[in-house]
Amino acid sequence: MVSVTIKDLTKQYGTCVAVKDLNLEIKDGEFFVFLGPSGCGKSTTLLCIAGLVKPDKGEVWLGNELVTSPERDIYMTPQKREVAMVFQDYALYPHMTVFKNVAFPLEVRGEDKGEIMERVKATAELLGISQLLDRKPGQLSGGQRQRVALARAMVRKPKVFLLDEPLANLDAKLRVKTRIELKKLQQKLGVTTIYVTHDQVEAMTMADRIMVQKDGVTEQIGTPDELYNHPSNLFVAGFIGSPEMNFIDCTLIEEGNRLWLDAKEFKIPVPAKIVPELKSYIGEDLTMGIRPEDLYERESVKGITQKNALRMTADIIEPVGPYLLLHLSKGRCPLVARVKETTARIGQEVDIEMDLSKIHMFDKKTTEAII
Amino acid sequence: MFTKDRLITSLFLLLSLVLVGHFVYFCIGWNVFVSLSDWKGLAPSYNIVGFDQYLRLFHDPVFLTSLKNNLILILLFVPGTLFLGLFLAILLDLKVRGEGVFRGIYLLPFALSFVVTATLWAWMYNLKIGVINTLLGKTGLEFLKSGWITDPNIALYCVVLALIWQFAGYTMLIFLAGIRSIPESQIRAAEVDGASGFNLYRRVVIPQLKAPALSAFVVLMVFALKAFDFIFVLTDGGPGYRTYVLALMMFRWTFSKNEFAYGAAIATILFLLALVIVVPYLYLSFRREKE
Amino acid sequence: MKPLRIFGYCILILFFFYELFPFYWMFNTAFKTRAELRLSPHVTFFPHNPTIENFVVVLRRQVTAFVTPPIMNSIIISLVSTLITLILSVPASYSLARFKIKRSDNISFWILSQRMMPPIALAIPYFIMIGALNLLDTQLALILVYTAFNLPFAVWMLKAYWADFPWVLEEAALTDGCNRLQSFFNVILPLSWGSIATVTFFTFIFSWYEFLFALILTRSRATTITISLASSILETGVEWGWISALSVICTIPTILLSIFLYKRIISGLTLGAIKG
Repeated sequence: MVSVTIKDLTKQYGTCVAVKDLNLEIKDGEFFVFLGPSGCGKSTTLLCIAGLVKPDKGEVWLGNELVTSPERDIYMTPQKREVAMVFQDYALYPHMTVFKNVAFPLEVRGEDKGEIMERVKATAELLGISQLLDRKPGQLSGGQRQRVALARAMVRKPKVFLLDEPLANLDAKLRVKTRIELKKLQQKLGVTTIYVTHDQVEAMTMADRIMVQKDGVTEQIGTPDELYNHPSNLFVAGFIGSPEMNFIDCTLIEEGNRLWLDAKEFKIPVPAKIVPELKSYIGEDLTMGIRPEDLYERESVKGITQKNALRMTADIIEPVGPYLLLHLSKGRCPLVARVKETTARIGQEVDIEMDLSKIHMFDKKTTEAII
Repeated sequence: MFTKDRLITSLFLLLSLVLVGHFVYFCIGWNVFVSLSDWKGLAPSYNIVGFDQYLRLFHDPVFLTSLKNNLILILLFVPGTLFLGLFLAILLDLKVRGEGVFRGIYLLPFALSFVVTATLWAWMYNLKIGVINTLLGKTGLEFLKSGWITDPNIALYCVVLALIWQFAGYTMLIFLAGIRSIPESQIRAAEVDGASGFNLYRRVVIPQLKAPALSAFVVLMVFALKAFDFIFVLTDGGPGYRTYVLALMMFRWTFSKNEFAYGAAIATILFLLALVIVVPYLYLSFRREKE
Repeated sequence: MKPLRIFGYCILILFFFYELFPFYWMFNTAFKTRAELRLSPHVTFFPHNPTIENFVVVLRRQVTAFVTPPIMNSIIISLVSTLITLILSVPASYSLARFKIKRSDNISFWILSQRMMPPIALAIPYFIMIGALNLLDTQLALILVYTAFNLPFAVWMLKAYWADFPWVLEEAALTDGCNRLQSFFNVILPLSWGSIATVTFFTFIFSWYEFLFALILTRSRATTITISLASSILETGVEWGWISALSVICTIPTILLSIFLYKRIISGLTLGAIKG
């Protein structure tokens, strides 16, 4: 098991920048997730670590070993790096049986036959695919193929696991199940794991730490908790969490010795706790963010100290199993609230409370978080 | 409405089937029928004499030579073209600059008529003024000069060389398309798994080229059996009977010597040989498609 | 660059010249004067006085030495047989691809197997048949034979293309109020022109290049260009300039069409060969 360090990594395809100046340190044994919308360079970074793509500049370190550095003309081929990879389409060899597929990484390294047999069997046992060893990939279901791909990656006990959207081709139910199994497996083996996904739920549930990427640029690196509660900019705030965080464009004004967020349709008092941070933004355009679960219907509010009531119209009531989503609007300002139950009727007005201790503030121009 | 459309278009299908049925299957039967007769000379005779023509064939040295030449053609031309095509396809797969140009030029001979290519090779192989001998003379390799297609010892090999030239691009194309149909992630997986260069091709790529190899194999085999135009123009079977093949013999015996029944017997043999190659292949590929 | 890579390039370039040389030699010879061709053994790699004299002579010979110029015969026979093939094969393959016809797989099987048969097995019956119809040495004889020979291939190829056609579009057009013929001309045909062009190319080239049947079924009036090329070797013997010029003429239609349809021809050549 090793750490993975990336310094100033940049890769361009023609005029399209896949990764730009990426700096990253992944700790030994960590479950690290690259999260971002599709086609934003997450996979490119992964391929650079695997050695399948040569970056334009920057360094990749596996433990204490520098494996890629165009500047110093260092490039270790993927065959020599002790990393294993699982691909989105699993990339199983269709002409080989499951046994041969799993044994392949050992066979090309010229391992001893008995040893291969033993390890393939042990790995198959671990993943519950022992009864499939004689079949060919074409005869397997999606979930089974995924396991075979995992087995092939695990069998040679790599130092780093690279997983490129390994659950994307599974159906929803299986995905949830596999997610948990994968996490358990990683904890058991303790292998440094880098996992690429565009699904924020996957990232939040599995990762020790997450890097959010967009257009090849790192937006934020942090634990799931940090990303959720302290997003460092508008993109991360909007990308993490479902339903999405509500954003309200407003101007910071001073009136009667108090600071207010003026959103045209309504005015919100700035809680005393964050006044110091906001002071320098008086007169500027800001974006306020509030998560749907931090909005309440007046009747149900208990024990919230700093609050502010808004009278809004209920447009749609969306039942989502354990809770309801209230789609509200006032003038041209829409909000979504997540509530347990509601007395609201469609088209009628309802009073909404905002938990002001949970608001996020962003500079509208730079999109960076202020608090 | 629906059924009327269906009826009309099906009529076209039926017409096509009738045309094909008549011009192909009925005519093949007719040919077999002629081969069982004693028709010799210009006036048709359908006096059935059984397998006399076939018995005669197996004592005819020209037939045996032609059959042998067809087999040599199959043994040299088919594997030669397959391996050269595979080799070129793999080389082109190595992210070569100007791949499109190479591919286009390799494929060029396949776009030419056999009559044209045979003419070209006849001109290049020419003993006195052919470019090959002139170049050999100029570069001091005088001793290699040869009559090529007029030299009894090497004539057949010269034909094979020219045929490989014409078909190598085609097999290259088939193999390259096969290689390219393997998902890139599989190649990447193999690289991460530790396979590189030779191993990657031997263990991951080439085993997956069975389907294109088989289809190219059948096309080449069938061509080697039915080869006619090219040899007719390039050597006309000469020198002697050194490059005679079954199709050429059939043509000469039928249309020059008017031995219709005898020619039909040769044609039937050719047809049966092609059948042996083609039917299992088509049967396999259609059954696979159904699955 | 690694030495192995350089070695790879060397081989590729070597075969590049092997595959290109005869073709280049054809052009080189076609544009040389008679005098230059007689300079042997001093071959020249470019015509010193490029001339189209060979082409003029060859084209004049086409008119004077034959009843009808073989080029004309070839053009007429190829065009007409291609046209008939299309008229028959488009609806036939449509019906095969579109309507659930029982045993349609078997039909394609019988259709395709024909392409693999040695044409020589059909030589005698065709000769007898065309003779009986009193069509020997006529354009009609070759048109008939080529159409019958191209038809199965065209049906198979079009059916293969149409297997992947988004037929919901036709259903949409039918729902929108077109009848089947209208939907065919307004929706299906515009989206299939590429496939049809490819089929047209292959059938045209087959007829243009065909040799065996032309040899058997024609004498002088309906002789085609390939026959005139082959016979010019026998007749003129050593006039390689003329022969090369005629070769160039014979090749040009293919090359031009190939350039326009390059990608489609490539996919047409590999059709059915890749899937396992």
